[in-house]
Amino acid sequence: MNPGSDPQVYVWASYGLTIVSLAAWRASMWWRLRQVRRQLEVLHEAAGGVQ
Amino acid sequence: MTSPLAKAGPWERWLGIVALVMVVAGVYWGLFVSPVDLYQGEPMRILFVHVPSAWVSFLAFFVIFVASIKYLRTRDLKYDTIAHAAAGSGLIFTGLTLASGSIWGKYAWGVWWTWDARLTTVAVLFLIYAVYLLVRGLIDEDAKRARYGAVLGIIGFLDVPIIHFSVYWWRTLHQPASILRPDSPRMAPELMIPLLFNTAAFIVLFAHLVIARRRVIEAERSFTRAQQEQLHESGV
Repeated sequence: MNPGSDPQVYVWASYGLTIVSLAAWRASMWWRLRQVRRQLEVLHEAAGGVQ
Repeated sequence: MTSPLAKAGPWERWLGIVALVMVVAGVYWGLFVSPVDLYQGEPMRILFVHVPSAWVSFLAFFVIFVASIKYLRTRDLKYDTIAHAAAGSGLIFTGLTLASGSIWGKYAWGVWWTWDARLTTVAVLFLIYAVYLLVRGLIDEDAKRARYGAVLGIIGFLDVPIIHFSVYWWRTLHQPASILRPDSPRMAPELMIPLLFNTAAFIVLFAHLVIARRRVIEAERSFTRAQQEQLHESGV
């Protein structure tokens, strides 16, 4: 054991890292989907302009 | 078939809500309600996120393994998309397994990392996930990418049983399995119940993430197809 340090720090670091990473991963999907939607809109608008 | 750009379907939505409720309850249980092991003390609470992350990282590769076999048998890209969707979350859960294990190791063993058989084989799993995603990213053609991915997905899965048995095959610092062992589990029910609850929460979350990621992959594929069609029509 590492007696010189506060054990709570290790616990909170693990839980914090887990929750933040999973939330960020889910948020990245939402952001990417929004980005692809917008790109498709631009593509369709450009196609309309060409026609 | 619904468009990948449509809003989340009922499965994705409901699994997301259930996962959120279960993860919040599980974290609260693990942090504030569960008793701690007398010998390990407070850092034992890390177990309630470390073990579920590890099990989900193995489950994710099992999904890739099954979907890869299905793809090679049927050549249906639906299975390739499922494998691809599982890989992203698998990489995240494996990274979290290594990180939470490392934090626990620093407290218990005094080091962030040691080349122990269990730790090393999990690090290899992380690399397999990374290589799997990297190879996929390097190939443009759908069928070729799916074929290479399926072969990697099947070969890569071999690491999962090696991880499980590593604590029996080699002398390791990492403790042997407490629950998934040939005889009865060696863990007090007060600790095992929150651990199993958190595992269930992480599995529901994983299912939600796979469905959500699948929708993103299908949307990206639709965009690439539309872009190619437009280039073809404009004669480029």
